Amino acid sequence: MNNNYYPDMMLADIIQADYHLLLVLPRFGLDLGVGNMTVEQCCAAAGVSTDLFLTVCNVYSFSRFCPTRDMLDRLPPLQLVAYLKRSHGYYAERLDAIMEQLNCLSAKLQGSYCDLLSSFFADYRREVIRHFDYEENVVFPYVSAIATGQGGDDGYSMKKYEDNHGNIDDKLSDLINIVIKYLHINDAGNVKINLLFDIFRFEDDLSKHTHIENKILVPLVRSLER
Amino acid sequence: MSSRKTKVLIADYSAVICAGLREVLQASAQFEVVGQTDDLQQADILSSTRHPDLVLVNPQMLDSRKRSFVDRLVSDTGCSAVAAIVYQFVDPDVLKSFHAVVNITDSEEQIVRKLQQRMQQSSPDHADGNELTVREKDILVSIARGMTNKEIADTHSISVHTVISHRKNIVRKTGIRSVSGLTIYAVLNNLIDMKEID
Repeated sequence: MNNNYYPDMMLADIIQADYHLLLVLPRFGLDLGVGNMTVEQCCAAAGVSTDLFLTVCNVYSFSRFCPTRDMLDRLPPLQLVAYLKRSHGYYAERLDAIMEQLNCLSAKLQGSYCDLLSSFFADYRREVIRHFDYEENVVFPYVSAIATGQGGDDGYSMKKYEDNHGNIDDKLSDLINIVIKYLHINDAGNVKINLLFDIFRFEDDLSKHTHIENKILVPLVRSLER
Repeated sequence: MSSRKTKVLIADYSAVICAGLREVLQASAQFEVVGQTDDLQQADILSSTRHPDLVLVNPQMLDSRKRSFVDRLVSDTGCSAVAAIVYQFVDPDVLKSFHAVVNITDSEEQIVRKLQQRMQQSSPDHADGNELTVREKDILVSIARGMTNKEIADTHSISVHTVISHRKNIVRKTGIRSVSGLTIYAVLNNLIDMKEID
């Protein structure tokens, strides 16, 4: 599949084409209020690789997008790592927000099981944070080292990362199922709806993130390892 | 086995092929086509909303990265068979993952017979619909209590294999995979008391 966004497009236009790209902007340190500036101009002003920015945007908007070898080779690994780290920060915030909504919902639940949902999600949250910590403490430093031409001989490799990059979505889809199908709460109003929207959005966003790690970070670093 | 018609979903790029297969299948009293699409994502949506028993799909629509499409479809939506629609060369390895293969050169009778045979083979565990059976509820309670498959098998005097098959059905019917999620389901449905969970 080809590139779908191009450097000479206006940043404002691609955001209007797919508003989910708003999520990506702060992770690259890009701001709004850009007038008619093109993607290339915005990226240059922020010191961001246009190739990387467009690759991420394409992953977000086009589910089948996969960068070509040639394109991969042009992506700066350190900037990619910085992007992924900032994403983690955002996800941690979202997890807190969802947790809060769940607590709010649990408070309306009667009986002894009101903490059940909260503790279920708390478990999931811990799992995700542990996953992020591992990436930030082990994987990202390794990528940085190998990208700057040092390290790579401490026995770690992208192969190990791939093997351990487990699936953390199961619990999230369980929670969605439980709230949609089995949770009866009187007078919950929009709390349940808002909660579901937030979980769905989080799930979508996280799946793009995983896609970026598996289809971009991994092949990029593996080619550096050679 | 059941008098209910087999619900079929057809996914193929070609509108002509879809329409043709629909015609052939509807002519036989046993099949009912519940949807057709030329888009794989749409096929995903249709299979989780219309609950087909049988999905006919052109293997060329499947992404090579998603070899597991057939398994995923079966585990996620509970359809009992996935058949390939073949009219071009398809890697034999890919075809192996399908439960049946319909060739575009097959006669109408051949197509119907192949699919009927396949549907008879597949387990009739869908006869009970989407509600958990009494047995499944018992097993679910054991799962929620944190018992292992071996322990559950011993308690209920059944084989571990049977326990696994019950678990699969529970997951399919509830849409919940994790043990902690199933526990919440059990509590919300008053199958188990909070005090029984550690």
